[in-house]
Amino acid sequence: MSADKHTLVDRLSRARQSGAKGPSRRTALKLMGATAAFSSLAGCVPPREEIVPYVDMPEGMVPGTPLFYASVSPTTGCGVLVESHDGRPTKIEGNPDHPMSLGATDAASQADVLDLYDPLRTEAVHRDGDLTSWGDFVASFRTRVRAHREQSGQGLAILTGAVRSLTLAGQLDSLSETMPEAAIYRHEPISDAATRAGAARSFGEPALPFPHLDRAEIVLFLDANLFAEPTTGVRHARDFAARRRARGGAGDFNRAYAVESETTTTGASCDHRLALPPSGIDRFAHALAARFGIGPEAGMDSDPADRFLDQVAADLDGHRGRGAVVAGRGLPAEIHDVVNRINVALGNAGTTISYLPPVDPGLDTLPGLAQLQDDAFAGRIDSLVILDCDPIYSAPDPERMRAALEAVDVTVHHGLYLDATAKACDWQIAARHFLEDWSDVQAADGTVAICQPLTRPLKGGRSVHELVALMAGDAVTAPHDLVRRTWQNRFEQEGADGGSFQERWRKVLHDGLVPGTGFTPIAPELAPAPPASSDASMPPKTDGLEIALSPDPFLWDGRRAANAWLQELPRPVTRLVWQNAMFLSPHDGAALDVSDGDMVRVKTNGATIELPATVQPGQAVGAASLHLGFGREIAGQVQNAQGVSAFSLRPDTDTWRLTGAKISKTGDHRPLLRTQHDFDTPDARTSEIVSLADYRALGPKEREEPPESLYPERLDDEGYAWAMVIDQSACIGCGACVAACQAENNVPVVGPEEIARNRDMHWLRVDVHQTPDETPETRFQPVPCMQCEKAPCEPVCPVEASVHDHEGLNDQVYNRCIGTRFCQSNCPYKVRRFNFFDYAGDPIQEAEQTPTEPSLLQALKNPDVTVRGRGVMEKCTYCVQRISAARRDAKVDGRALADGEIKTACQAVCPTQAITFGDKNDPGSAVSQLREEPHEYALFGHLGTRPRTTYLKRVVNAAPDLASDGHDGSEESG
Amino acid sequence: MTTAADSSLHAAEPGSAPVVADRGLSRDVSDVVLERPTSRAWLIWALASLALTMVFAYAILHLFIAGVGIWGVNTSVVWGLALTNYVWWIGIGNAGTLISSMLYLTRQDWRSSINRFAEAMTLFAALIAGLFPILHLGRPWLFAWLVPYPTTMGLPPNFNSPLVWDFFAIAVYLIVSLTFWYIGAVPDFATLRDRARLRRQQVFYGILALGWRGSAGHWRRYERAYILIAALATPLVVSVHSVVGLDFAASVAPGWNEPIYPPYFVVGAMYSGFAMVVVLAAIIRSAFNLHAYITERHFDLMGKMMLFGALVLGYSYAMESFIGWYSAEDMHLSIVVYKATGDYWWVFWSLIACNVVIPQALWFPAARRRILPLVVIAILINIGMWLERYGIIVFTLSHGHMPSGRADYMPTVWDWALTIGSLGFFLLLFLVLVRLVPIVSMHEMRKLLRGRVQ
Repeated sequence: MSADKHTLVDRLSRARQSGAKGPSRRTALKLMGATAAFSSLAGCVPPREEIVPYVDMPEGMVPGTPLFYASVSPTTGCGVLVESHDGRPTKIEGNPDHPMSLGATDAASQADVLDLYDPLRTEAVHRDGDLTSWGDFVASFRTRVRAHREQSGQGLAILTGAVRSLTLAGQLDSLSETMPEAAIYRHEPISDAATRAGAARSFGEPALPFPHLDRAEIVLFLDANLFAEPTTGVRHARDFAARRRARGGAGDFNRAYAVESETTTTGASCDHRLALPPSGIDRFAHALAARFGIGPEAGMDSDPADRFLDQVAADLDGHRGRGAVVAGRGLPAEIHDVVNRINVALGNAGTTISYLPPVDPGLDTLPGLAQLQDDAFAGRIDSLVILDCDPIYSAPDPERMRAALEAVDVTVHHGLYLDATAKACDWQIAARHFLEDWSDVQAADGTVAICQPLTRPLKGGRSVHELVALMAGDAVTAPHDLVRRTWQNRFEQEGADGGSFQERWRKVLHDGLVPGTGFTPIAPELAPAPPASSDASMPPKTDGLEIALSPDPFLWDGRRAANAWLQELPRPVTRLVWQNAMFLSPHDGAALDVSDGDMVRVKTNGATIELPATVQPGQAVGAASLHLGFGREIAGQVQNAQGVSAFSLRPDTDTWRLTGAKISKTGDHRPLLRTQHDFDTPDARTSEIVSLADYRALGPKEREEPPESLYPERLDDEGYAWAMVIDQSACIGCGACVAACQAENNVPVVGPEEIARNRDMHWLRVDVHQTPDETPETRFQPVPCMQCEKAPCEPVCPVEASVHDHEGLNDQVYNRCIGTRFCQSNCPYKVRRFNFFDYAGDPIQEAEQTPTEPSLLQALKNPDVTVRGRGVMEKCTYCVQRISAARRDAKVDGRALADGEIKTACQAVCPTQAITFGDKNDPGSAVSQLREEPHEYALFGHLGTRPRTTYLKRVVNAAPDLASDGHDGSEESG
Repeated sequence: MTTAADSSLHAAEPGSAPVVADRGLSRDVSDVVLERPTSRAWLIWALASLALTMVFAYAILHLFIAGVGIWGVNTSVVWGLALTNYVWWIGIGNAGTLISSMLYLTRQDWRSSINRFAEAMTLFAALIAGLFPILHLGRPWLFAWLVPYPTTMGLPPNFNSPLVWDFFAIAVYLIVSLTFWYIGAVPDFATLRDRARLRRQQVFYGILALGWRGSAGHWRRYERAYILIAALATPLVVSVHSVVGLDFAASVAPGWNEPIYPPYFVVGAMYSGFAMVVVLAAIIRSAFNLHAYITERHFDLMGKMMLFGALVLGYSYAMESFIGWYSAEDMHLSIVVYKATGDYWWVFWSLIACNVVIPQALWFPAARRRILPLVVIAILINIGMWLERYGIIVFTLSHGHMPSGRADYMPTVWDWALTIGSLGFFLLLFLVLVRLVPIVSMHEMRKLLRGRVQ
């Protein structure tokens, strides 16, 4: 009976796992307490086993007061500051000093901290699935490596993903020196191969274009979802938003165009967007190039596309040296070459676009998976060490990969999870989470940041540096010593300026990055070879649907597939969770007789997958889009995830487009898991959008008097009055704020079954509004609690659980709440969330039937935020714990709170700084000034709720000639 | 069950008093309680309703263990069948007191043969209705926080909240209804005491009769008390359902925030209450052979009341839609259109059919005086009124101001278990009652037979 699924017991038992048992809470706390004692002494070795009470309190540590340590996320290369409560890392913030972060992070980085405490992360060392010890492994493996070393490495192979650590790169280099016959392979499932190859064609060496969106006045994104890039997206979004701030009746706006198949955060943030299938994008690039004398004359095949092209070409031409054309990773190398040539011809290269060397040159020089498989079958590999990648999952042909692993004598897998590859290997060695490990990571712009541990390895993991040192026969194996040695050598080479090594090292650890490590851009000098002739370059029109693959913005290549926060984080635009789907345009959906949730079968390259379809207005006709990164086989909290892996559809790891695939309806239907079903614009009387010209013509703010209230007016012009303003011009819908809110406020995960029942728990959501046109505009609206001054939730609560405080916050008193849910039924914004079940209780712990030992996940909780029980309503608090902490500090100092001193979690993480928070009683505060902006509006202001959270309308800089099919069309409703 | 043939046996002219002797009346009625053995039919019905009551109890137990998540409620539609049932049951509970008090005050003598079980129906329905708001809570064990007792928290309930009004309305209504019912039954308990032959019956009814000897002084005080409570109960009938209407009307939600709600809820409650009385009257009349006391005239008059209800409700529905359009508020118009054409269009059109269209048959005397069509119409009205309350909750909550917050609602098996179970519980209480208490007010019937004494 389906109803049985509703029971708590059942929900818990479905979370039952066979995975290894983690350390008990007691042990974890012991370990972390010890770590806290030592980690503040930056530079010393990882702590030893002894647990003693503090005799001397570590410097700077006050129990109950969090400490922040600089580190770096190895996936993004962006510097982070990690908040640690008495030795427990609980929250990740961006490092303001790091050029790729500037204080923000992407959504996925917010969830990294969950992985640290994941009770189902693989543990210690296993041999064929049985628990053994690192000592056993070393004893067994050392003799093996010694044998290899005697044959100068013959038969030894190492497979890695992109190597972003300088220490690891150095270790691998020295290993190659001592064992020249050892084979090193690279496998990066989401690769920039075409981008690098395109640059190699244009400039003679592989490079990655880095557009400076703060300098560009005209930007064209060609299938480039730049804002979702883990390594650079945060910086690009910040730069982009810097040119889209409408303040005080003025605005120095760029104009952005996007040509893409699927509606992405980047495309939706542009002023104009043209939906074309992949082949159409190629045509567009060639046609644009032709306008600037590159390649033969060409045009588009439809009137809107031609007009779009004319406008883009005219704008780019009128802004030579101040424009940028950006090509995405899915485009072929040849198009990247064409785009590079356009940018050179327009004088953009070197001014608005820098060309940076790739972080890992090995991706271009070392062999890949195909070679590895051939070598394995040819018997050239005896020992294979796989460092933190899952090739069985992400290989084009998983069975061939599996067979290749079987053909190898001894296989060693080093990773965080017991994934398909780990299970196929002989040895499974638990890797360290980056919050447990020493390393150094290079960002996309070359800046190196030091990764330092905040806790002892909770799962007995081993550092990758230690493992490689073991293979290389290095006498030094402690990861800290290895990383330190790298930098000692480097600093010594650079000379003595900057003081002693110890001083410099301490500063590097404190600041979180090594100054002066940024790349020098390569000179964009065109190689002589012109692009190929017209016949070859103009792609033929293809029949049938083209499939466009792209990485999921959160799970990326699947490396974060085990993360329940990210699985449940609504995808930008579609708001799907826990699954991927095939996006079809309404036209193609009708042609295939497919509607939302209908299952489709995709057949190509000998592989078949089945997944639900979703009809997305704004999707290019002729293009079906699919996200990679789902369907990875990992035991854990996410085993109920319903995503499907699309890696097997690819003929090779660099393919992003598939033609000739057979797509058919299976007849099954599975309702889509999404947190929004209706994408209409909320309030027809208040337009969310205003054109730049209209904005400039707006006079000073005319504040409409809200309707009268029956209840007495509160006197709130004394003391602080908290308010928030969200700039919809800046919001790119990336979801980082939602993830940050989840991490900060102990927001529970509910799982796919509960999502199917419309019970998501996010306190903050990013609503997507689409105009009902054929080429819809997509707008984003983050909706936290409005903290209404006349809150409809307050009078209806019979037990006064929903009350107003003296600073204007609409508080929810959990202890008083009896769960009538009247507040939510009366909330026009529907921002309240109800604990229908005991979501905060730990299902895994119950499954292990150790009720007295709370699981590791409890250590993740922010101690400053109440964990809510069953039957209680909860909602956004404006991060009241941060307000209280700051107020307390100010009171101790005997001063008033300064503007900007309090940052809510959503505000702090926002890559585009779209969220402003502060005291509206202080006329000088940023939030007060924004509230006086002429385009500020209150959502449903006519209801008399007087929300404290208000919005700045989205200002669009539409091109006059495209206005009819662009944003101006929606002005009528304004 | 009742058939059309039953009524023809005891044909009586509408408007005339029942043609039975005084002695025969006391025997006919009290024998049901005192003498007749437990019938097979009663046993079967009792067992069936007991089974449903067990379902009800299990659904509640599981609810307390697992939480309200077992229901279909979600983040948008936070209320579901629990509150639908609450409003429906409290509506059913409306008619008994209305019949007793309002018709008593207006000297409508025909009420005498139906008021006793109609009042009992009120009591049980209000009792069950009162359970639902408690079951509906996320933390039901804390429901007492709605009561203004001196707590250590020092925090009285929030008197701004319609839910607190609700609490008082239901509590007062229950107390007054119980008092009214009991006072009205005291002379009959005395009759039972006097007629009882078994010792335990004599003691049981003797205690209940409170020493009633039927003296003129007793009757004088009885009449005063009864008319006083009737006068008290009548405004309560109006207030209790007005307050239920205010639960919705005092919000900002589109489709709820309408001043027509309180009167419209009162009429709706009366309507469904009368429909339930018709069903119960038909069953009791047939089961205990009380054709002489519950006559076709009663059905005819109740049919007219139902017709009145149908017309007023039809008017209310029309006004709701009209105001939705006339207000020129986008959201109000949107919800009007959504009701008729949205995801739950079938709920809307079914309730219109059941509550407004089909009851128009009651214009024809044949439909009012024949039991079968009347009972069918009454059952349809009860279904229609249930759907109306379902619609009130689901239409608005699944189509709120925020498009992104719109979601469907689908009741689960636990929702239905509680709904069906509550019907079984009601039936069980009723079946037990008819074995313990005279189902027709004997003393009032006697009075009716002898002409009004005053």
